Amino acid sequence: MNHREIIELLPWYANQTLDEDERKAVETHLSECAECANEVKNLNTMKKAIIESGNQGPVLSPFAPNRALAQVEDYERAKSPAAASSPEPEKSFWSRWWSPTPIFARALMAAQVVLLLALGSLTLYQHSHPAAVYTTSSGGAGENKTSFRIAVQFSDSANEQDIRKTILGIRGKIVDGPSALGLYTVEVPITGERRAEMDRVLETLRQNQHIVRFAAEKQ
Amino acid sequence: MENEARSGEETLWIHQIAAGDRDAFERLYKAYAPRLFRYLFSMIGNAGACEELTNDVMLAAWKGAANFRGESRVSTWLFGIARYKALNAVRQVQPLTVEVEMASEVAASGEGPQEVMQRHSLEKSVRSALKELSPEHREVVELTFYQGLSYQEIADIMQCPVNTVKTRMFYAKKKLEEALEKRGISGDLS
Repeated sequence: MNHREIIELLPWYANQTLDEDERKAVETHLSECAECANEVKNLNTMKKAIIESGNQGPVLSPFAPNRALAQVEDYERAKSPAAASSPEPEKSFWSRWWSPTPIFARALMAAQVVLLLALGSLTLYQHSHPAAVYTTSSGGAGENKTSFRIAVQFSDSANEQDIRKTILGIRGKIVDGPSALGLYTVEVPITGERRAEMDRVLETLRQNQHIVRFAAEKQ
Repeated sequence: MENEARSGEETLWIHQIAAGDRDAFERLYKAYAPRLFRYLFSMIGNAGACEELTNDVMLAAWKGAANFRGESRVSTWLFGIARYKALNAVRQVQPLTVEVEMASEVAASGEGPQEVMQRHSLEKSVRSALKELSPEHREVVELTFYQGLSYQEIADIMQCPVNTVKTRMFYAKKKLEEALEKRGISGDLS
């Protein structure tokens, strides 16, 4: 390899991805060429600076992995034979209104949900108004579901750790949000009797001072 | 050898994902989502949009895992999907805008190179200098130095000949040196 060919390989010598033969050829050349040896030093410095400048940039939000998993679950649900043959009866209130819609539409729906909450037409709970508790109607197709969804709004003072602790406390996972209005949609698995599990989870949320309000899907 | 073992492990994850293994998906996500996000951010520059795109890439990996033949590395496959999605997003939303910083900063500030050096860290200067590169040049620099990919992998991702990758890197480096020189950093960087 000539000098020019070696120079072209130096960035990948610096990032250590050359194959064995190329690496040996570069190292032999470096022992004889001060210009290329200096270039390698500069490239290493540049590489370090680029990595460090990248590390100072924005990062994925801590909720991104849960959202990705929720997208996978939505995709799997949508392609399952049951969903294909009878999509409407199989879908819950929230998945019908929430999952398949684009993010901006979801934000609008979140606003509608808040309005509905205000009107008391949904299953709901508010800390500031203990009398307004959730209602559910038992029975129906929902009995066989293995999870249910809750829309939750946290207080402004709740930090990321509070939110995480709350979600873990009910063994839930965030499948959407926060919406423009700060609503999170949380999916909670059901391992035992549906009504009892929901009661337990909703009671846990009711006791949580970081939650302003929440709405559970109707059964 | 270490790279080979890593590559084999990642290929195994893809096979497990094809069989519906959520744990394997989480492992893949943990290993790649931050890198993909960073790569997308270097191309698009909007954190919110890049987060959505990152998850789109991961969902595409879930959907396409059964079709992954192992002819390329998992990294090449994922970055290829990310690139396709980024270019689509850029075309649909707006042209890629490159923020060009004031080129005459050193002269205008009245400071000497030494003071500028003190005011700016090298990282900060590199970050702003990178913005002066063309999207293609910046992408090669990003994939080489931040993502640590080989020139062959970069050629596969960018769907161009290896020589094009090397040429782009050659000119990207030159341009980067000029941009750094304007910021009072020249010659030996180390």
